[in-house]
Amino acid sequence: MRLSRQLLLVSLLVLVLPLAGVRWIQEMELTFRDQQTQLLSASLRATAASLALRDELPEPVQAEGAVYVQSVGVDLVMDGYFEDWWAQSLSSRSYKGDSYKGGSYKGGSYKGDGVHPAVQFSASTDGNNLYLMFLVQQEKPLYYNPVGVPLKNGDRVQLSISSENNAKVQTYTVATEAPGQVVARYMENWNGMSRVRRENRIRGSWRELPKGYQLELMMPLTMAGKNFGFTVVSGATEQWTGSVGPNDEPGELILPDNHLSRVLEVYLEDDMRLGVINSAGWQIASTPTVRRSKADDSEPFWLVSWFYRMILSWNQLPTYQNDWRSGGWQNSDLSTALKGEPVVLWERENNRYRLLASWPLVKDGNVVGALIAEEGSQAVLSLASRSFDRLFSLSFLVIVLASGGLLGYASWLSFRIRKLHRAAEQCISKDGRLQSDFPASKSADELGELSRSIAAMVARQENHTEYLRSLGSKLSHELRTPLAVVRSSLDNLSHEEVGKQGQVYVSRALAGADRLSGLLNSISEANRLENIIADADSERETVDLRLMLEDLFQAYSSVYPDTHFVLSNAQAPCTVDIAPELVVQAMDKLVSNAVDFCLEGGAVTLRLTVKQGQPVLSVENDGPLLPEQAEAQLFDSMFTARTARGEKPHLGLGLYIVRLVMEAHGGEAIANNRGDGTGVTFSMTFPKV
Amino acid sequence: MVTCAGLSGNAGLEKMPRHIAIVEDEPDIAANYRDAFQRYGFTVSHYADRPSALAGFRLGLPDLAVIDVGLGDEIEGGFDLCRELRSQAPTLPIVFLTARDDELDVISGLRLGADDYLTKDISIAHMMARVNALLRRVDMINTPKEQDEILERGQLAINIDRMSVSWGGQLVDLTVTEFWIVHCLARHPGQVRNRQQLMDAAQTVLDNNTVTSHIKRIRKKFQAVAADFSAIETAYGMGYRWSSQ
Repeated sequence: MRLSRQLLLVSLLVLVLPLAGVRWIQEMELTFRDQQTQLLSASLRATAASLALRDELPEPVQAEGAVYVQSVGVDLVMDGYFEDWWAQSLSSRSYKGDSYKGGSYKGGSYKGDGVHPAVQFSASTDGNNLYLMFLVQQEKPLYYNPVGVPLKNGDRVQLSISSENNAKVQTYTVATEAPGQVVARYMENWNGMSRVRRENRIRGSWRELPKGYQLELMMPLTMAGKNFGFTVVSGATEQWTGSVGPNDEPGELILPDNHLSRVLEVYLEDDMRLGVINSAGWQIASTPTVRRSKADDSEPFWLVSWFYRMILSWNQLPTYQNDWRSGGWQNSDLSTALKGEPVVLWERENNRYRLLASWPLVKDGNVVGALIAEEGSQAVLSLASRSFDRLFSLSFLVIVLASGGLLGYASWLSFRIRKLHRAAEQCISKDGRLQSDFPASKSADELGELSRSIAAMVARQENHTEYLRSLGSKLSHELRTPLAVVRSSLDNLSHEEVGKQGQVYVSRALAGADRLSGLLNSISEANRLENIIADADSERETVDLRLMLEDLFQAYSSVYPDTHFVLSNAQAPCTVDIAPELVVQAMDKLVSNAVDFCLEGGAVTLRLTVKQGQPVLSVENDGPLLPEQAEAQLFDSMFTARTARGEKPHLGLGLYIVRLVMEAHGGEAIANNRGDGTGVTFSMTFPKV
Repeated sequence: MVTCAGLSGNAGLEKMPRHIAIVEDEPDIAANYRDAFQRYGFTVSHYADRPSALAGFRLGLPDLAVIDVGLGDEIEGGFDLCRELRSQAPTLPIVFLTARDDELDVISGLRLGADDYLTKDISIAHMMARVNALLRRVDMINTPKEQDEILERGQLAINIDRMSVSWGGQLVDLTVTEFWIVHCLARHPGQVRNRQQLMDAAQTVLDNNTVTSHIKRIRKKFQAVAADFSAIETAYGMGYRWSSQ
C-alpha cells in the first residue's frame, strides 16, 4: 500500500471528531428533553392548580356502564350509513356479550359469539342533539312483529334514560318491522293499561346488513338526561349486549364539557394540546388539534431525519397512541394519573415525537380526573438540526482540511522518498559502477539523514569498487617486476653451463613465465580498453560494415584454418560511424569464443543484417546452448560459462569488452540461443544510421 | 619468436666497449640486465635512484640509458630523469623499461623524447636487439656514409642504415619500433602484414592493442608532415598494408 493511501487511512481518524460531536448532541438532546418534560410538568401542575381554584374540576363519575359522548362539530345525517361519522373522525367502541369490552373499533367486522349480538356503538353530540350509532352483528335477523308481545319481540335496541340519579328510568325501544326510517316507542300506562306510544323525538334509520343491521339514531340532548344506557337485544335468541342490562339502572352519560375546553385554551402554549379526563378515564374536554408551526410542515430530507432518529435514539420510544380521538384514555399509560401519579412520557409517531404528560386533578383529597397534555418535539428537533448542521459543516471543514493536509504531507513525503529511490536506483549502474554522484539532501529530518547516509554509503562503496577495479592492473604492475626478475634470470641462465636436464627445466620455467605475462596482459587489457574507449569518439570513422565483414571473413578464415566460416552479408552497403578498431576487437572476441565452442564439423556464421534501420553484426556457431540463467550475466566482467579448462588462460573478459565497445557506440550486445536449438548467436546492434 | 642470430656480429664491430647506464630500483633486475649487457660486451653502470643517476651522468654521459619509470618513492622519477637527460644530451638514446604498460605511460614517455618503451617482461634477447638497433642508428647519424641503402615508395624514403624516414623530403621522426613497422609495411606495398609480423619486424613483444596504437601514432606523425597521408591501410582482422598506389 502506498504511503499516501496509508496516511489517508490514518486521516480517517479525524472522523472521530464528528462522532464526538454526535455524542455531545445526544447528551444535549437528552438534557433538552429532560428540561422539556420538567417544563411541561411544571406547567401542568400550575394549570391543575389554577383549574382547582376556578372550580372547573370535573365531577367524579362511576365508570360502570357509563356512556361516553364525543363532540362533533356538524349535523349528522340520519341515513343509516356511518360515512359521515368516520369523516368526522368519530370512533366507536365494541360491546360484546353482556359485559363491557374495551378497545376502540372502527370499520371492519366484529364477529359475535352467535348468541349475543356484537355491537359497535358510538355516541356524539353537537351541543343540541345526541347522535347514536349501532352496528350490530348477529346470526339471524328477526324483525319486530306488531302482533307479538309489544316491544318485546324481534331485534330491538332499548334506551334507558333517567334525568336524575335514582329517578324513574324511562325506557324507549327502537324496533322495526322493516328496514327504513324508525322512531322510538315506549310503553305507557294509560288508565291502567299499557299501550305502545311513539316518541317522535327519537328517530333514525335502520339498515339491514348481510349479518345484522346498522342503526343510526338522534334525539334532543335535553331528553338524554343525566343517566343513559342502551341494550341491544337479539330477537332470535333474546340475548342482549349493551351498556346496561334490560332492567338495570343506566350508567352516567358523559358529555363533553365545552366550557372546560374553552377554559383550557387559556393555558395553551405553542405546539401544545391540553385535555381533561374524568375519573373514568373519559376525555371530557380538549383543545383543538395541536397547532403546528410552519417549520413543522417542512419535513427534513428523509436521510437526514433518519439520521436524526438513529442518532437521537428515538427509535426505542413507544409508538404514539392517538387517544384524543376516541376520548377513552383508560388503556393509556397516562391514566396512571387517575391514581394520583403524574406521568410524563415520550412517544413516537412516524417522524414526529410527542411529549405526553398527565397530572391528577384533586378535589377534596379525591382524584376527580386528570389533566393531560401533549407537546410536539419540534423545538428539540430544530435544535438538533441546527446543531447537526453546524457540526456537519464544521466537521466537514475539519475533515477536508486534515485529510487534505495529511494527503499533501504524504505526497510530499512520498515524493521525497521516490526521489531518494530514483537517485539510489540511478546512482549505481547494473555492473556496480557509480554513474552519478548521489545527491545528498540537506534537510534535517530523518529522510535527510537517510539520504546523507546513503550518499556516504555510496561513496564508500565507490571507493571500494574503484579499489577492486584497479586491483587487477595494480596487481599486474606489481607482478610484472618479479616476473621480470624470473625471466631475465632465466635468460641469463641459458647462457650458463646447464646440464641437459637443466635446459628442460629452464625452458619449462620460460614457458610458465610466458603464460604468466600473457595473463597479466589480459588482466590489464580490459582496463586499457576502457581508457581507449573513453576517447573513442576521436577514433570514429565512416566505415562500410559490409566491406569490413568481408575483410574479417577472410582474416578469420586464415587465422582459424580448422574452422568452417560462413559469410551472410547484407545486400546493400551499410555505412556507419564507428570506431572500427574497437568493433574489430569486439568481433575478434566473439569469433574467438564462437570458434572455441563450435562443434566439430560445425560452422561459424558471420552475419550482417539491418533490422528496422539498425545494423546488426552477429556471430553464430553450431554448438552447445547457453545456460538459461547465464544470458544476462554473460557480458559481465570476469564471468565465464566455460566449464572445461582450455589451453589458454581465460578470464571472462572477452564478452565484457564486447559490451564496453557496444556501449561506447550506443548500441547493445545480446547473446541468445538459436531458435532451432542448434547453436548460439551473439549479436551487436548498432544505433540507427 | 625472434632469434639473436643477426646480432652476434655487432659486438665485434665495437672499437671500444659501449657504456650503458641502467637506472633501476629493483636490484635483481638491474643485476640480471647488467650481466646480460656485460655478456654482450657493454660496460654497465647501475644507478638505483634519480639523484645518483644524475650525479653519474654529470661525470660522463653513457652511450645509452635504460630507465625505469618508477624509481623508489618517485612514481614518475624516470620521466623526470628522462627530461633532464634529454636536455643534457639531445641525441642520447633513451629506453624506458617499466612494469607499467598503460597507454598513457607509453605516450608520455615517448613524448618526453624517449626512443623506445619496453615492458619489463621482454626477453633479454629482444632487449639486446633493440638496444643494438638504437646504437646503430646513432652511429649512422654520427658517421655519414656516401651510399646509404634507401628504400623509396612514392613520397616515402626510408634510409635503412640511418633508420630514418622521410615523406616528400621531410624527415618524419619515428622511434625504432615505429621505424621497423613502417619498414616492414613499405617493403612490400599492397601486402597485408598482420600484427605478429609487425611485432617480429620490430623485434618486440607487443599485444595487439599496442600494435594498433603504434600504427595510430605512425599515421599521426606522417599526417603532421602531410595532412592527406593515407598510405597505411587497415585490413580489418588481418592487419595493415602499405597502399600500393
